[in-house]
Amino acid sequence: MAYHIIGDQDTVLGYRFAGVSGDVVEDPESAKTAFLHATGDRSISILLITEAVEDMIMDLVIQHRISSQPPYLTVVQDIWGPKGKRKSLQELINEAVGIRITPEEDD
Amino acid sequence: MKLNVPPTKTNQLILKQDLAMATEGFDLLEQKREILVMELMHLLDRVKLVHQELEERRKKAYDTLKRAVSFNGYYHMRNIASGIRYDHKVSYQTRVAAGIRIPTLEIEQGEFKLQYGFAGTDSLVDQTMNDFLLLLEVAGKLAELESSVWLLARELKKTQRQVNALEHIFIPDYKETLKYIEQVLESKELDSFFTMKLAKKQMTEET
Repeated sequence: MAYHIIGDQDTVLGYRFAGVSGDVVEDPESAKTAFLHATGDRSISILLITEAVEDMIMDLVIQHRISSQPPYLTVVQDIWGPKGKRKSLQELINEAVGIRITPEEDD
Repeated sequence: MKLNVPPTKTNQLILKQDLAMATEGFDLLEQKREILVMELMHLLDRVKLVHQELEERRKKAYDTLKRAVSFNGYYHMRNIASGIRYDHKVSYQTRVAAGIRIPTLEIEQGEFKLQYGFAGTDSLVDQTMNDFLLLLEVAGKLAELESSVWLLARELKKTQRQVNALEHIFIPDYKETLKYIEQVLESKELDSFFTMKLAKKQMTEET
């Protein structure tokens, strides 16, 4: 199983249609267990988590990202709409690079 | 701000060595920063493309799913979903740039095929499966980008801080201290020179 998803039951159901195995979690405790289990599983290469789950176990997620080990994480939006404002990858890049460099000013 | 060290010849030597080290480190970090910025700018275009694609496909897929669920009911949908198996294959390699392990993922997506009976399922179910397969394809691409960008951005911020600390605090402090020590040593030398002269003069007068 290359993909795995952790999220609420509706989002997980959707990804099940694409053949993604999934854990349905409702509270931080079960999210933590599912996340640790998924990151320990060598057969999973891409781990999808919903925004709600990311919020529940933020420190674990950050820890896992820093280790730069597979499975690689992607945060997907919950099916019932976004959970708060999030930094997009573009904003992350711009913030890190500094505002003085933007593609428009580049050339 | 001047460092709190006694102005002696030994300290001057130690500080000079430290300053040389700091300058060298500064140059290296500056290079690292440039590499990281380059890597990130390189990824930026791809991120934009993938992000846009993902948004479109996600909206479509989620809408279809909502409709499919409201037509067929959650439990029926779950029953159908439990029979679906796809053989996705993902292999990854890692590349090291500026001390960061950047993953490259190769994804072999399973082909769309019908995996349930025609009776009891409608076109919305097929549509859901199709849409989510498309969505998954982009999500896989994003996984690679997200991991790389996250790590690179974090490292870049760290490097930036280090470069700033060296450039604006460490190196000026050391330079100032060195200058101070030099001045003190010079005036001490002058002092002792004068004392020697005086002593010599007295000695010649006595004889």
